Amino acid sequence: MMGRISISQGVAIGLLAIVAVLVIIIPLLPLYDPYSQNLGGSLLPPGGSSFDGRFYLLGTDTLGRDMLSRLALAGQVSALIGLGAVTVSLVVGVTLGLIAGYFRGPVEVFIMGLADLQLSIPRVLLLIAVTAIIGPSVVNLAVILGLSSWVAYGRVARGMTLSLREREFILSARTQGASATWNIRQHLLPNVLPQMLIVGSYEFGMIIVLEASLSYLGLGVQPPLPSWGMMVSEGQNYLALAPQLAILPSIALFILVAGFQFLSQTLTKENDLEMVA
Amino acid sequence: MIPQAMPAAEPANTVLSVRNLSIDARGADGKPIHLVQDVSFDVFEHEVLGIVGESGSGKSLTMLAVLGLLGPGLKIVSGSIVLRGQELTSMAFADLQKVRGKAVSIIFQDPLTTLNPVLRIGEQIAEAIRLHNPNKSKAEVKARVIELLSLVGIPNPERRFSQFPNEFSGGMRQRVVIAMAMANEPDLLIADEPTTALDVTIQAQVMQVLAEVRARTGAAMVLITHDLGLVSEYADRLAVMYSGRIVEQAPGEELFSDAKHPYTAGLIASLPQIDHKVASLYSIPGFVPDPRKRPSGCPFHPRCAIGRDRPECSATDPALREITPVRDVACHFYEETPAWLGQQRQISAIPADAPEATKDDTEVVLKVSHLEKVFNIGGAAFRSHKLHALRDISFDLRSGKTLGIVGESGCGKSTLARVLLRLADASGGDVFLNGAPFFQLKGNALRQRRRDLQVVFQDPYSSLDPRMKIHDVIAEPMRIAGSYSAERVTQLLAHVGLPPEAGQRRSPEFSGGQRQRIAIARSLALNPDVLILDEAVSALDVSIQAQVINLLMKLQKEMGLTYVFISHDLSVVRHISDEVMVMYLGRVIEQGATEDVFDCPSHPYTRALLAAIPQIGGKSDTEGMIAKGDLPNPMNPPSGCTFRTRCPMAQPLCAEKEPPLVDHGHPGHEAACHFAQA
Amino acid sequence: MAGFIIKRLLQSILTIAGVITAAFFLTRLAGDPAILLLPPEATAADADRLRAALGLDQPLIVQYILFMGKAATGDFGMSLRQAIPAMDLVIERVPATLELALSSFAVGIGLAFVLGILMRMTRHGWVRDVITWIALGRQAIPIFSFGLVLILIFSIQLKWLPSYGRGTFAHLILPALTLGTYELALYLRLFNASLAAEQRNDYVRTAFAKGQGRIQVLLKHMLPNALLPLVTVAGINLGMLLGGTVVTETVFSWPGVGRLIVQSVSQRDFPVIIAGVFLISLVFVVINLIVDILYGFLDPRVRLA
Repeated sequence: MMGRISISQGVAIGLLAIVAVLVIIIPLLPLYDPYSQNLGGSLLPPGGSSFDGRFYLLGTDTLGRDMLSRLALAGQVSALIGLGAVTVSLVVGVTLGLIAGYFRGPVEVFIMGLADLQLSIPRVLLLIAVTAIIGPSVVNLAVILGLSSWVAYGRVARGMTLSLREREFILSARTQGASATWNIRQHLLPNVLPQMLIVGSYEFGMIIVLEASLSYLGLGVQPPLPSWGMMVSEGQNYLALAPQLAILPSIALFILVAGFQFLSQTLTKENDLEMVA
Repeated sequence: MIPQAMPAAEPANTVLSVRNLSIDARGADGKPIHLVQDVSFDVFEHEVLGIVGESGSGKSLTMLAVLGLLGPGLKIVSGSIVLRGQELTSMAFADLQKVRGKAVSIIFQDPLTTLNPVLRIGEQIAEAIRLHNPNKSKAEVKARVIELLSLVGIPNPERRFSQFPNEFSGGMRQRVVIAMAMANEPDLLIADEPTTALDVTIQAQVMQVLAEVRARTGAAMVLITHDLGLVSEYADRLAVMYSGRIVEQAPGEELFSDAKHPYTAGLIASLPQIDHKVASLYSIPGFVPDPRKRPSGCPFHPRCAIGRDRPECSATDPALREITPVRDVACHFYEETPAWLGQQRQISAIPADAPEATKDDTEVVLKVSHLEKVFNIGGAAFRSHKLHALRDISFDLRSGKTLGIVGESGCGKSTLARVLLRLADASGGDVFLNGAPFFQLKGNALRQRRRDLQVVFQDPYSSLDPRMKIHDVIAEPMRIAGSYSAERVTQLLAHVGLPPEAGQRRSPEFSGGQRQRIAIARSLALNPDVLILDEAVSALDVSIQAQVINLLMKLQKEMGLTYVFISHDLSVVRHISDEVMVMYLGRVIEQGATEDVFDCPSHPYTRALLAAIPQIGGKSDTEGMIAKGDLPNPMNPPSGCTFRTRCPMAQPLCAEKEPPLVDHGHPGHEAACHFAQA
Repeated sequence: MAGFIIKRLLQSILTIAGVITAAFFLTRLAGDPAILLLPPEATAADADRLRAALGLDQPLIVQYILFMGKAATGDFGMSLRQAIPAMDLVIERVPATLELALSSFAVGIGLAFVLGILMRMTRHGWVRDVITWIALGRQAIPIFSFGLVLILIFSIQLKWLPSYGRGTFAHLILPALTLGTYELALYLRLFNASLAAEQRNDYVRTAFAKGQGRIQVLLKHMLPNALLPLVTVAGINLGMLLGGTVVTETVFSWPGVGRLIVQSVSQRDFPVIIAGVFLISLVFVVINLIVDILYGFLDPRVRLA
């Protein structure tokens, strides 16, 4: 089955390669500083040059800042927040899910009650309320986004644990005197983690969108640090005049989110095949 | 007469005629996989053709093809299917629709999934009628549905008409499915493992209904099953399939009394018998080949006792040929088969001068006294129901012996295994392992001691962690105990007949039988005294089942193991056990030495169970001995004797007083019945 | 069935109590809630007066009980910017948000339904592929980006539809399309998955074996079964839908609860934020309760249990 790349695998690899170029390669190039303003060259279209003869591949924003280097920096910020948040939510979710599924009883009732409660407050609203109160720094954002997103992992981990703990290889390990830690380490984690990484690759895209939404609403990443959502929001006022201001960061978001979406899709398929084979 | 016959001159009484049918699947690499190859057979009016074979033999696919119901990726590549003179393989969908449900209908294995859960029973049957009788009025259709429901023995058909499938028991559901299949009185009824999902007493009821409705309409039937006993009892003619082809075809009695194909003979010799005990079972070596890697020549030759080393068998694939007007066989050396089978019978028979099994000379390793288990089933908000899953279970099991525990689903036998293994807590009673109390142990002491009591479960697929190498699977108990040794793993692999290299592979590469061997090796890793075998051979095909049973008996002899053998299959229990316990609704209703219980059963339930088991050769006499109706709701069991609602000999006393488990003249053979036969 | 309803009702009440508790902790996140609840220009004396009025000088548990009591009656204090109870401000905006949410839901589920059936019925593989790719692609575009693209095309270029505000049906089209198509991908995937799962059941083969046609098997046999899981997920997903209204309302200046909350954040009007989050959660819990009870009625396996 290996060797040949399916269409969605190809798409995933292509899109993620573009993202990698944008957030890893571009910042290494000697480009313009994403913060330096050039009022003589504001709102330049892609490929335009300012009066002082400087060439801008993707044009400039209202303050004459280079769009390409701003997009790259914003991508780094988003990716960092996304990685942090996914790590936090994966660790919290897997831990709580395994505990709930393996030990059952009141612990499970409490954890799943917490999950239900959290699901009943829309994520965006919870994030708005919390960031409004504690303030939206990059670290805060990563932690809050992570803590508000553990439920997806927790539910899947619990579901898998519930079915795995009744599987006969775990029952048999119990009859051989295996402790809970043994079963969790030897059987549950290795079987649950691959699925968690699939959830994670999907959630990464979702987290990026959430962060972008918060930034779009002005409640996420704060200036002067750029973020794609904020750039779209700034561009909204110039939609008729310079649509590229809103469109370019939107395309960047699309590429990243679609890339992770396809990644999680191909991972899911492969995992299914593995289960069947 | 059958296979090579010219397609033209069919006798007028032929219902279905299949010729040279081949079915392929599309492989992952694009190459076709030949699942059914060159299959030809006929079905005549009023007869029952049994198609037997193990999983993967292509028996179900063949009949799905008749209905044009092959799944995606499967296709008929050649051959013809003629039903009442109509060629079906080339028929347009719209024409096929007129044939399906009218001229031919089908009954699937699992009545739970065969019925649509969100549609009323009446509507599901009415649909079948309306599709082929669009002019019938609503009232006429309903009247016919109710007639059909009463025909298949469903009480209160008017009320049942508007109920949903989840309000029916498994046996009742299958009756509904039969009613649905018979709605338009088809010429041909296909029954694909119709009773495999049901308990044996319910199976007897359903088969009886099936025979009755068939007798009424005169429909021909194809009965597809893996159960040789079932076809022997219900089929007039048999076709045996192996690896996608028919290897032998013959009238029922002839096939079983005088099997000509070595595979058929091997299957018969590997089947434990309910009516007598044999010293050992023959086991067909190896396993059914993957259709992608079929051996050259005769596909059976690597497993064949007669043709294994013969160049002709590995070179030429024998065609199915006519040897008498009613028999066909696909074997180069079929003449040798009867002699071989006779020889096997002699080997397996218990010698007349065999010493009487020594009794009670060893110490008790497992003592169970007054074990109880009550589940609290969380119902709706404020109610909770009590389910008395185990009631007053007591037994002593001596070292080196096997206790067989039998009963149908819901009798508590698997709960008993879990409670004994302390995977679930008992609600009362005591268990002593090697004389020491086992139930009071906690923490480390429990972890140490439970190594003496190990288990092999039913499902060979979920019993091994798919991500672990076999070496690690078998080493796990030693690693938990801190006594890992690689040589011991190799030694254990050898004990269960697997090569040392097997350790480096993962479980998905192994077949069901091999996985069960691996599970056995793992359970033996820490030298346990007692092995609980919870339906350990139930998921396996007949030929593989015999291999594992023989292995278990060999290991018991070599290592002095003590077994608790839990199974719904009474023939297997008879073969392997020294003592037997029969359970019904959480209670032991009969127990004693195997020979006593099987040869002179005293409890009516035991007798009904034994009578319900279809046997090879000779129709069993089920008249009067069939357990009536369904298992009562275990949360609300009947008063007095819990079996009385289904008992053919129940008296008023049975409703008042629960009979105690006592012996009726034979010490050591006890039954819980007021009217037990001594 | 009655037991099931009672159980779900109790669960919902518990969840709402949990939401109020969460709201209580939210106000404590920054330490002294008095600072949150006062305009930045307030004096220390104002703060002391407010603390006494709110009972903030009492033990935490008493404060919690007081908060619970007030919240249960919808009292989250006065708006800091307007001399109106915060809850009144929020309730005023509820109809707009519900209008947007329900019409988006209708767009999403309706499209998913039509496309899902089309994908099952078509004999052309490419139709399936195109629908799948469009749905996947749409899901990768954030709501605000898609909304702006729609505005760019239909308001700025074509000048067909208004780009902001609420009032006429024309105002509703772009916001509902933006949010509805975002939901579409999820519903479609689920609908397809549950249809595919139903396809494997023997009752489908049995229906064909009776002589039933393809369309009838799909509509009569598979659809009722496939819709059941969709109903549950649609209920759970309402949270995401309601969250989505916040962004959509901001893009299209739609005067709903979400926009009010976002505006209140920039005005640091915390009573309104808390009241808004609470009310939307309440709406979500109530709708979910209704959906679950509906599910119970639809599925005989639950109804008759």
